Order: sequence, then structure tokens, then C-alpha cells
Amino acid sequence: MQRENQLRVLVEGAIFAGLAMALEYVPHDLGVSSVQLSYGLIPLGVYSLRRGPVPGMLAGLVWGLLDMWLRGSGSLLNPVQIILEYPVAFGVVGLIGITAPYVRQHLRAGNIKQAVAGAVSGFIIGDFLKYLCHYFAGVFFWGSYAPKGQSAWLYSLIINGGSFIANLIMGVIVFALLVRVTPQLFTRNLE
Amino acid sequence: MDKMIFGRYYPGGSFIHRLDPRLKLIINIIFIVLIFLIKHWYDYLILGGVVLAGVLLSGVSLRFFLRGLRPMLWLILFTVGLQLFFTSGQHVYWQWGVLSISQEGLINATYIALRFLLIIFMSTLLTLTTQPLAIADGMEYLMRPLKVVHFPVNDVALMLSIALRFVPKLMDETTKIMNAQRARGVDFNNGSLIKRVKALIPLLIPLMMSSLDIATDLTTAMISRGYRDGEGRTRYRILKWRRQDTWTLVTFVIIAIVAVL
Repeated sequence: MQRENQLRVLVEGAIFAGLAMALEYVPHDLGVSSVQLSYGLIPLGVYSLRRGPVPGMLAGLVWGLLDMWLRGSGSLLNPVQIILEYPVAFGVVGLIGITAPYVRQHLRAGNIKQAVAGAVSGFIIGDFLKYLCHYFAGVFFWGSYAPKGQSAWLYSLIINGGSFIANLIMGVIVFALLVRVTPQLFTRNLE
Repeated sequence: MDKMIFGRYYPGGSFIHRLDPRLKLIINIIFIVLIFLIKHWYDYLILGGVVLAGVLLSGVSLRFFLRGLRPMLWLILFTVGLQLFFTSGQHVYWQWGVLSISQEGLINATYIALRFLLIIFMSTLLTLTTQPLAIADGMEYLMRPLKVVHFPVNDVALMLSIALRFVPKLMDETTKIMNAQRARGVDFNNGSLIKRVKALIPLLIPLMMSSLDIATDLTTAMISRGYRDGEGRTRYRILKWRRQDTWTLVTFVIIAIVAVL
């Protein structure tokens, strides 16, 4: 039974990582080339809030490897940058699951407001850490691509800050709605 | 949507197609390191020659490689444009306000464009000539040393194979639901950020619910067929390292050393 549960967690993580990848191909142009919405954060966030941070990080890592391989060919500069911007940056998204026990507990008790607060806080942590990785990669690796005379710290902040804020707005709205409209998404088939 | 990725494997029996996926992954990793290390125009010429040889030996039309460039085109143009117009230098050819084109800017922009092109061509060569599951097997093999630090290599490999298998299906499902929602008047492409995000909800809920069903069905199927993980698990696909792989690796390493020196 325990083995069956472990397998269920892995398979669900794989399917949600695949869904995160599939959603990255949905057109999401915001009109500003450096600002990009990452729709994949939503299924990864839902999975992490269902299964907790460790399975969430594993699913994030798989999403990162898929993204690197299927979409990342123009964004590969050197091995350290690749590890930081793909396995690590996508892996830390799974830390959204830090608030998973809190969200589940309040959903079971019917405290929707607290559950929303937990889900949104988890999302903010995951989104922040992901873009923090991209920010440091921008400073240390993409900085050499910045126009001469412009600080790499500012260059990276402009490029990654916009995406971080856009995704933050997206995540807050989506998770507030998802927890209210379909709380079963976070509790169904857990055992 | 589906044209963007899984159409990327180009079936064939060329020399490059027959090489071991582990070798192709190793060469890609070394190549990325090399691109970061080289500094002179003749080094770029050597690596350009390697890429050209790979493209010719793969027997895949150049059209497919150029298609691989398309998703990254704006990023390349943006970065090259920044270098070209904002790099200050001593030999200025053109100036208008803060924008200028200098000799140094031209050189920087050319090198950066070449870096992007070479990396994209090399990684496209890998994906065009290697089946996705073979790449997953290769990645699993190369991640094996991480078992020493108790990294769950087998779990990641299993998840990677399942995710790869289901990405096309989930993309079809996404397209189907998007079309159904469009028929009901949902606009995914226009409007403010908040409007677009709200339009996502009717897409995300059915997608995630059906993903949960897929996961449950797949787990049941795997258990009923006696799936077991860990040491002693037998494999359907077995990777074979051949003499031609060794010679290709030796040749590439020699070229890499020449380029760096």
C-alpha cells in the first residue's frame, strides 16, 4: 500500500510536470518582450500544495529539465547557469508546498479564507525563489550581455522583475479563485 | 501547438542518428562550456565547422534547424540589438542620441549572435536526431553519480519518461479545451493582465481534474502490471556504447582542445 502511494505521488508529479510544460506553449505574450507569464507555475503549485514541498521540488526539477531540453536552447550559456536557471529555479517552485499542511487543514475545516491565504503565501514564496534564481543568473551570467556601462544588477532586475510581478499577480488571482471554486483539487485522491 | 516540440525528432538512419544518446548529451555539455571559453574569431570558425559537419552528417534539411531558431528569435534580436546600439567604443560609425554603432559594438553583437546560433544549432541537432525517450534514458545514465548523495535518480528518470509521453496528449487536451472555451466567447489573447488571468480558470480546472484522473489510471495500470522500481528493474530499451561513439568522442575532444588552446 505504501509502495502504491509512493508510485501515485510520482506519477501524479510527472503528469503535472508534463501539464506545466504543455501550458508553456499556450500563447502568453504580454506585449513587452522581457515580461513573460509562466502558466506552468499554476499546475506545479497545485501539485505542491497537494503533496508537499519535497514531491513538489522533484516535479519542478522534471519540469525544469523538460523546459531546458524542449525550449531552452537559446538560453544556455554555461553549465553553472544551466543548473541555476533550470533544475534549481524550477525545482524551488515546489517550495510552494511549504504551506500544504496549513492549506489542507483549513480546507478540511471549511475555513476558505485561511486556505486561500496559505495557498497564496506558498505561491509567493515559490515565485519569489524562482525569479531570485533567474535574477542571480542574470547578474552573474547574462550581465555580460548587458549594454556596456549599464549595471548587471539593474539589467537583471529590469528583465526578471517584470516577469516576477506579472506572475505574482497571476498566481494570487488564480489561487484565490481555485481554492474557492474547486477546493477538491487540493484534497481529491490524496490517499 | 504540437508542431513546436514533438515534431522535432526527425526519423532517419544517419551516422548522427545512430550515435549513443549519452555521447550526444556529453558533446552538447562540452560544447556549451567551449562556447563560454573561446574568445577569438578562428575558435568560432572551428566550432562552426563542427556544427556544420554535424548538420551535414545528420542528413536533416537545414530548414528544420532554422525552424528551431524561431522561438528564440526575439530574445536573440533583443540581446544583439542591445549590444549593437548601446556599446560605447572609440571607433563610432553612427550616432543618434544615446544610440550609437561602434566597432566594439559590432564585434560584440556578432560574437553574441554566433554564440546563440551555434548553441541552438547544436542542441537542435541533438533533439532532431534522438528520440525523446532515448534522451531521457541518456539523462538517467548521466545522473547516476548523483545516487552517491541519495538523489532519487530512478524516480526522476521515471517521472521524466512519463512526463515526456504525456506532454503531447496534454497539449492536445489544452487545445481542445481552449477551442471549446473560445466557442463560448472566452478570449485568451487580448485584454488586460487580470482579464487574461481570469480567462485561465475555465481552462485550468478541467485540465487539472483530467490530469488527476490520468495519474490515477496510470498508477493502477502500472501496479496491476507488477511495476517495481529500484535495483534489479529490467529495461525494455538498453543503451549500447559502440566503437563509433568512442571515436566520435575522441575526435570531438581533440577539436575542443585545439579550439581552447
